[in-house]
Amino acid sequence: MNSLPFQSLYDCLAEFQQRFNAHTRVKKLVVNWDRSIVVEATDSASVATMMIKELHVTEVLSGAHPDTSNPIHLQAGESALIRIFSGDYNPAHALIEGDLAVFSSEKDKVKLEAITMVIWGL
Amino acid sequence: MPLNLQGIALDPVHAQWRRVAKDVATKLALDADRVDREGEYPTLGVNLLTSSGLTGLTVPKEKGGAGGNIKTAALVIEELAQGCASCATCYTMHLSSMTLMAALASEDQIERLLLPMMRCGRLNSVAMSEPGSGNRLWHTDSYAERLPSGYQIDSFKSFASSSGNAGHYIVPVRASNSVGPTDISLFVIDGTDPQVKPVGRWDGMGLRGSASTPVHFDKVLVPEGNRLGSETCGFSMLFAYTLPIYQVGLSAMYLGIAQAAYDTAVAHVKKRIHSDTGLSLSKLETVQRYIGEMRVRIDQSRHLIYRVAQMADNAVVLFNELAEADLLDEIIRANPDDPFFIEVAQVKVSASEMANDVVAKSFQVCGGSAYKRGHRVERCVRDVRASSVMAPSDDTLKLIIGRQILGIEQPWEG
Ligand SMILES: Cc1cc2nc3c(=O)[nH]c(=O)nc-3n(C[C@H](O)[C@H](O)[C@H](O)COP(=O)(O)OP(=O)(O)OC[C@H]3O[C@@H](n4cnc5c(N)ncnc54)[C@H](O)[C@@H]3O)c2cc1C
Repeated sequence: MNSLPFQSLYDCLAEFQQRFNAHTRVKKLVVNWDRSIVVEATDSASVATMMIKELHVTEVLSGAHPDTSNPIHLQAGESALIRIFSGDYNPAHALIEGDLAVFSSEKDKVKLEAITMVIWGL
Repeated sequence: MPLNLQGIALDPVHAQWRRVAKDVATKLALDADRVDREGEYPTLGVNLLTSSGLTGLTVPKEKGGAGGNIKTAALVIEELAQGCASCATCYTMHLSSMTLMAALASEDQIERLLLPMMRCGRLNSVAMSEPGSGNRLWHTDSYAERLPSGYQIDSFKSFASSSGNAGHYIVPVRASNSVGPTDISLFVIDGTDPQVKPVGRWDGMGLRGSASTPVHFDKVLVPEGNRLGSETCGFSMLFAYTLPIYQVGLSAMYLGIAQAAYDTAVAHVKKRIHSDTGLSLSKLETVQRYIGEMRVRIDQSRHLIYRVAQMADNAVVLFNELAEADLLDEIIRANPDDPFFIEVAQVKVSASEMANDVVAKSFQVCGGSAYKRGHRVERCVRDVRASSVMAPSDDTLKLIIGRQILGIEQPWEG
């Protein structure tokens, strides 16, 4: 496997934040969709929370942020998460391959898949 | 460990619609010989499809339909094809139009067009193929002409199942003569319009009741209210909402034809006894091997069809989400050879090759009986032959798949 583009999950998500916020198409999908997304590595202690508010990823916080209610929860091995959020691994494929678990409402799952399509391709 | 039936078991709704279809198929079978022999459109069958609620199968409940999905459609079409493949062809084309209608129809179009399409006792026809581009469905030569009150459509379509019998035609044409072949408008044209002119009488080698003649839309005037979606979204919308159910539906139809031939062959080899040996054909190793091979191919194909149907159902949910954000047209145009569409291409090639093989083997083990007009397998031989040429033809689909894998531009790009 290629070496990972980021040392830590946090760094990777911080870069993802920039890409997400610069993406004009994805904004159309997150209208009225303010959420927090907890990203948890199953094979290390890495956990981070991304806050989506008013069309932007406003913050990437280290750890599962205590303020958030009903967050969307993503779980995978750390290297898979880094590959996903750096754009190397389509999360829809990771889901089918059993490399990624998503805990959320069905509606939010559809939203995540649609965001995935726009950012990563179908 | 608990039982894990996810992905294997049908849900009760799927099973219920399959029972309905099985019942309809049993009745279709009673008339199928006549339909085939006389090349008659299966009007009785269409009435049964309407009265059993199958005409609105894939339309969401909130839009007046039965709320089934593409997997439900695959199960239903497979059953219907075992009864009468001509009727199943027309029904597949009808459903290919209904997912599109359900996705794009405005409130007014739901009332005026979609609801009557489910209840009027006639199927829709999807008239895509043109003489110029043949099986290359992504290219449309004919175009709409803008008039103050709507559009004028002058378009000759080379094949359209249910032609002359359809309640409505879904007709893709270029949005005007100045746009490219993928800037497509989609129109709903009333089947009773006198300017809709089916050409001749369908006299196909198989699927003889499908009324798949050419049809000339001879300067038909279409009101603006009968255009589906935006003026140039047709190409993307056909990709998103018609292509998946059309390819899965055709595959399910070929599967049904193969299953019917196989069932006939199994029954035949058990019954047919040679006087010199006193043994049935089923005791011959050659025959046992044919039967085994057929079974393997049918099962492989069925699983692929269900898998792609399920993927297509998931894709529709995503397409709806993207459509709500007004992103669907751009996303589809930006992903012209997405792996999902390649799965959709694969399923038809696989089902078509399987069905031709299974039907040929069924024919072989049924021997001289199957060569005679009126034998069940003889009809399957003729019906199944359409599979590899129906658009996009298997040859074209294989090239599309290969190009996607090799990173070569698809013919509709650029
Ligand atoms: C029973 C039946 C029902 C039908 N119903 C409908 C309907 O309801 N609506 C509708 O729109 N159409 C319908 N069609 C039309 C059908 O889908 C095809 O469009 C049509 O059969 C194409 O015929 P053609 O001879 O013009 O194909 P051509 O494009 O001339 O192709 C002929 C052959 O050339 C080869 N070929 C062509 N292009 C390529 C390529 N790019 N790469 C490799 N090989 C290629 C293939 O072997 C192909 O089979 C129906 C056809 C049949 C037989």
